[in-house]
Amino acid sequence: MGSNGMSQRYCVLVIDDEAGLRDMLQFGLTDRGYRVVVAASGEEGLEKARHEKFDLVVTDIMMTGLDGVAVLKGIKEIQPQAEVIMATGYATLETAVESMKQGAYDYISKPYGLDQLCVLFDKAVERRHLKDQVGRLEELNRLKSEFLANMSHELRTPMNAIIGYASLMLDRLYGDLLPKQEQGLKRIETNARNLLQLINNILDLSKLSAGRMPTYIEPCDAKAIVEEVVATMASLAEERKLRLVTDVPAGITLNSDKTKLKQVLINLVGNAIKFTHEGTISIKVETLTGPARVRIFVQDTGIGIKDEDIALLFEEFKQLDASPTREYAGTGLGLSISKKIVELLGGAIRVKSAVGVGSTFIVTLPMQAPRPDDLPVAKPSGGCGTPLDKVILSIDDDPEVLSLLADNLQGTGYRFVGASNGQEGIALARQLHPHAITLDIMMPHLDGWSVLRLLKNDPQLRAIPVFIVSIMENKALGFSLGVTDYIVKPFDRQELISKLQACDKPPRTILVVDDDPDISRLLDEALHRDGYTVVMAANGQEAIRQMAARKPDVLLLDLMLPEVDGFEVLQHIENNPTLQGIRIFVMTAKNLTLKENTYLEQRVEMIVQKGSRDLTEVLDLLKTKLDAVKEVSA
Amino acid sequence: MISDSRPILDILVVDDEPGFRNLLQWELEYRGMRVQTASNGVEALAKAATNAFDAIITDITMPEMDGLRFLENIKRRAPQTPVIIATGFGAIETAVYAIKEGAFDFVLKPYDLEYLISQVRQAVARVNERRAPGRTGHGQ
Repeated sequence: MGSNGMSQRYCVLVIDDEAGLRDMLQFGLTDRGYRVVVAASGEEGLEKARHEKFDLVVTDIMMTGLDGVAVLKGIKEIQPQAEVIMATGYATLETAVESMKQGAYDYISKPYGLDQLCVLFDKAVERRHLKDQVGRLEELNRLKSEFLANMSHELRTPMNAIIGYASLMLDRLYGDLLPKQEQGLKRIETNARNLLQLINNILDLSKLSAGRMPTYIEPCDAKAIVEEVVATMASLAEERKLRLVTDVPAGITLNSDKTKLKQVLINLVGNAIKFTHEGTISIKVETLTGPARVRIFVQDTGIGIKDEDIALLFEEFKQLDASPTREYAGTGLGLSISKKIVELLGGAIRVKSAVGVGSTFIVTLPMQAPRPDDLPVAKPSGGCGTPLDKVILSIDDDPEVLSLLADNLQGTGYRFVGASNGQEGIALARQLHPHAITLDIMMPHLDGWSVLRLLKNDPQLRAIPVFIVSIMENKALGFSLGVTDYIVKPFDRQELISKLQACDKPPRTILVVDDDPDISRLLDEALHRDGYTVVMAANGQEAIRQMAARKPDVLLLDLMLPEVDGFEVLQHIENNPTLQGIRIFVMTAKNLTLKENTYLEQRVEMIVQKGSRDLTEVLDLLKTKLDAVKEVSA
Repeated sequence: MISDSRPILDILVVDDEPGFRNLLQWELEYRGMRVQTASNGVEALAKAATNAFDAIITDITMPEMDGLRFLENIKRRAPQTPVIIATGFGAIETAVYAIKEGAFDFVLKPYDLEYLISQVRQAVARVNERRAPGRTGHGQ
């Protein structure tokens, strides 16, 4: 018997060209309770493996005909679950490394003892069992995630219509309402929002637990985030006659996911409001040196938490007062979601509390390292007037969403055109050249990502801003594919319109990258005269630095540059999600190869050959193109 | 020059010998990869804790923490990251142990640079194959 008493007879295949060793193993292993099959060559061994399942294989390496490493590969193809032990009298590093890389369980030198072999067998069999279990669990976990992803879509789609139509009716878009009707609609809306919140919480928690919550980390301004949180929560605080105060110094930049951080703060403030009967909720932000961190305090003057309850606070589905008559409503998921999100963002959350005095939640998060050349970002000025009949093309397979979008855009000056699938959408885009496109992701036949790729690969359509309207959020992927922004369903009318308006501003900043000072000077003067802000860079490295300091609207790029060349600058832009959406014009005196030309065609709006034209002509071409860009967005 | 549309790879080179480290860094960077270096296992673990590397190339004999201990540690923290052992110390037991512990390959110094680089690319391709389609981008 094997050393830990096998309840099952394991099948062993012994492959060796030495008859004495085969007999010894057959006898010895059978005696210990294994079922043994022997083969005198690699070919014979593989033939037997084709007809019978083995748990374990011991093979020699140096054999005439097929050698041991070839046998190993063959076995792993026929029965990948069999554990193979290589045994050789002529061990070499090459065969050892090759065997292990091909998935052998172990590699041992002859002569070896039967006991030694049986210990290896036990270990190999144990590993196989564990691997099988892991495989089964992984499969179950995958099924669970898939189920949740599907449920997420199925549950949220109808909510979209319920909330959307209720708020349109409340906005009197379908005519006047009787007071009773209004009251009823308000109840529908509030309760639908509560239900949506609950669905979101449960889905967030499952995603966080499964490690499938995508994050989009970027520099974000602490003051702006807190202000947005306050704007969201102010009416609730007012309702409860609570004061909501903030103390946030300007200029603190976090390196974090804006949306997720807001979710956490809204949750903490919501909680504070819920458990405070009178007094003040305050949000305070301070910076810590050491490793640079930001600390956010959310303090209340509420009922407080008992010491023994603090440990339970962040646990899932635990409400401190779980009695049926409990005073405070809620699912008990908020804090546990907040804790998981903060940890996902590389931070920590803790709480200090005294019963009857109040509680303070303290969130610590990584800070963006301060940049010495941090330029204040210019506010977009003007250009956001009333849009005059600009076409918004919406591509979505759900007719409900299309009609909801159409209604939402009524009276905004945008003209709505809907397409119910990707092909139709692209055809309409070519025909109408819309001002902006909204795009659903989950569509049959041609999904949103494919439509996006087609749009971004078409030189005529590349410049049109694309907004993803979806239940799913994969910002990093979207931005890397050239998405302008996201509108997450169910969407808010104000948010939709303000996002569409944001892309109305014409391009203002131009980064000119050229190592020829004459050309640079000429471009600088000419573009400056036309009202652009011009930034210059004499080589690729400088260009990359300039783009990091301030993202330009337009990039005029020479290809032949010292050190870091134009192609590398393009590659840098492509790899950097925050640099998406820059309009790129390439100027070059180089004769482009077909490969280079194809590469550029997919990435830039225009290629100007410098050598073949004189400079004023190049300049005219650029200006015409810039005017065209301006016109699209003006 | 066109560096095809493959994403830039982030590589960590761990070796206590500065000459070897610099040479490999230079060769990899010349091929368009982004390289960071560490001179022992402790330093390498610290770098791996704050950066996501596409592959790690490590020596075995080093002060503070040797390459095998580093391999054990990194496989516990970032099991997906391929580790290639490059060493002048070619004992068979060491090679078998390293690959059992999850090393992608075991290469003897002096090595064929083109082979080493092809192994790096293969290792990265294998990780990408296993990963579900659709990148999650930054931060994880």
